[in-house]
Amino acid sequence: MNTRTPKLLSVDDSKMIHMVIGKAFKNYNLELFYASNGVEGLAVATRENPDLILLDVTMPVMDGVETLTKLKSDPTLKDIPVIMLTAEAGKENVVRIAKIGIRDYIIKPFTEGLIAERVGRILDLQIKGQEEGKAKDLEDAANILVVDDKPAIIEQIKEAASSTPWKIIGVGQCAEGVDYTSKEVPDLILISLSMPERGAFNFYQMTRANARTKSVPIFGMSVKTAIEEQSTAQSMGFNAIITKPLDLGELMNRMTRAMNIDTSKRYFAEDKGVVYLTIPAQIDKFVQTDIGNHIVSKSKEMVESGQEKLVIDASKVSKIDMVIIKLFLQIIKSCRDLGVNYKVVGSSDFAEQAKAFEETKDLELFEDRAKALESF
Amino acid sequence: MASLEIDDGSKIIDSEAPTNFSGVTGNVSVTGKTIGILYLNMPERLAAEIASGLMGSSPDSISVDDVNDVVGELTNMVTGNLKSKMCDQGYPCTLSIPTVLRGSDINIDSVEKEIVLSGELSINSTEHKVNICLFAKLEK
Repeated sequence: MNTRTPKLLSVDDSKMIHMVIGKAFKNYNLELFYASNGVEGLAVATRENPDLILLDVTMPVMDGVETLTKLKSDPTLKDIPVIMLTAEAGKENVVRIAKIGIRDYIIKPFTEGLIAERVGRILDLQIKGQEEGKAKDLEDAANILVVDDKPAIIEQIKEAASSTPWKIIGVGQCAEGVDYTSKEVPDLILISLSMPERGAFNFYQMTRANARTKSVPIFGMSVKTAIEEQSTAQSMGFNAIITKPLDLGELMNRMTRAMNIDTSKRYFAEDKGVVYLTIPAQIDKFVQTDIGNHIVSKSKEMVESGQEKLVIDASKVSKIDMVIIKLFLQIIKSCRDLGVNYKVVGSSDFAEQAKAFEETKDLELFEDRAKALESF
Repeated sequence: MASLEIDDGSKIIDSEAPTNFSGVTGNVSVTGKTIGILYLNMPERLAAEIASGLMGSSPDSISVDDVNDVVGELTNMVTGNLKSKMCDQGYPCTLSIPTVLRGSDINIDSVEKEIVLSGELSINSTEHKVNICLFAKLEK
C-alpha cells in the first residue's frame, strides 16, 4: 500500500500564485515545491521527481511552453503529469500547448477550491489527520453529517453520541448536505438510502467526485427489508450499511472504527507501572466488542514495554450476564496467553453472582484496587 | 481569487489620451497582430488590501514587493483574458512579463495609438476605484 505523501511542484513567477496554491492545499497531506521560472522548475523536477507539476505560461528566463517542451523531451521527467496555469485561454494557445502534452488547463483567476478539485483528479489527496494509520482520540472533536428526512433518526444519533465531543449536523434534504460538504469536510457521513429521487446515491457520487470529500466514509441507512437499495449502495461502494431500527451500540462501534478513533483510553489507564482496565457499569455488545478489540493489542503492548500487572476493575458492574462472562473469558485468555498477571476488583454482590456461573465461580475477587495491588 | 466585486454602473469607454494615474500601476505589453499596452491602476491602499488578502498578512505590514507582485499578476490576468479574445478574433499576439509603476500624477500616452479604451471601476461598494487603460493598434 502506497502511503507516501504526494509531491506537487508549482512553477510560476508570481509569489501570489504560490501563496494561493499553498492555501488551497494547506489541509491536505501534500509536499509542495515552488520554482519561479522554467529553469528553476526543471532543476526542482529533476531533484524531487514530483507527482504533478503546475506550470505557468508567461514567465521570465524560461517560459512555460519551453519548459513543457523540455520536460517532455527528458526521459526521466516526461511521464510527470502537467497542469498548465495561465491567464491566456485562447483556442489557438490551448491547442498549441495541448499538442506538447498536458493533463489539464486552468485559467487564471482561479479559486482555491477549483485548483484542489482539478489536482484531486490526478493525485490521491488525503486530508490531514485522515491518513491511514493515524488514529484519532475519543476526546478529539469530529463532525458527523447525518442526512435523513426523519428528524427522529437524527435525534437518536445525537443522543447516542451525546457522551462524545462529536458534533452531529442533521439535515433533512440532500441539497442541504451538499451545501454543508461544499463548505466543510465532515469526518463521517450517514445518509438515508430512501431519500427522494435517489438522492442518497446522487449525493454519494457527488461526494466521491470531489477531491476534498472523496475519502470521507459514508454510511447508508436503510430499513431491513429494503434489500434493493442496500444492494445498490453496496455495489456503489458505501462504507457500511446500517439497518433501521438503529442498534445504537453497533452504530457507535462502526462510527468509531470508520473514523479510526482510538477508544482504548475510555477503558485503559496506567499508574506507576500498573495498567488498569475499568469495566463500565453498562456493558452492551458495542462495549464488549470494543474492549475485546483492545485487549489483545494492549496485552502485547504491556509485555513489550515490561509491564506485567493488570488490574481489571469491575466494581461499577452490578449485574453479571453472559455478555460480561464472555468479556471476562476473552480478557483472561489474552492475559494467560501473554503471561500478564491480572487481578480482578469487584463488589461483594458481583462476587456472589460470579459464583453462580461455571466460567467465573473460581474467580478470585478483591474489594478494591489497593487490596488487588497488595496481592501481586 | 482577489475577492473584488465590480459595482454596477462601471464600464469601459472610448476615451481621450493621455491618461493620468496615481498609486500602483501594472502594465503588460502585447505584440503580434495586436500591438499595444494595458495598464491596471489602483490606489496604494486598495492594492495593499488585495495583496494582504491573498498573501495572508495585514495591509499595514505587507511589503512593497508583494503588493507589486499581486498588481503585476492581476494585470497579467486581465491582459491574458484580452489576448485570448484577440487570438480567437484572428489577431494572435504574445504578452510581455508584467512591470509595475509607482508614484503620483503619472501621464501615460501612446504615439501610435489607434484604439484608446479606459474605464474607472468602482470596487466592493467602496470609494476605491480601479482604472484600466488600453492603447492598441491592430495589424491589417
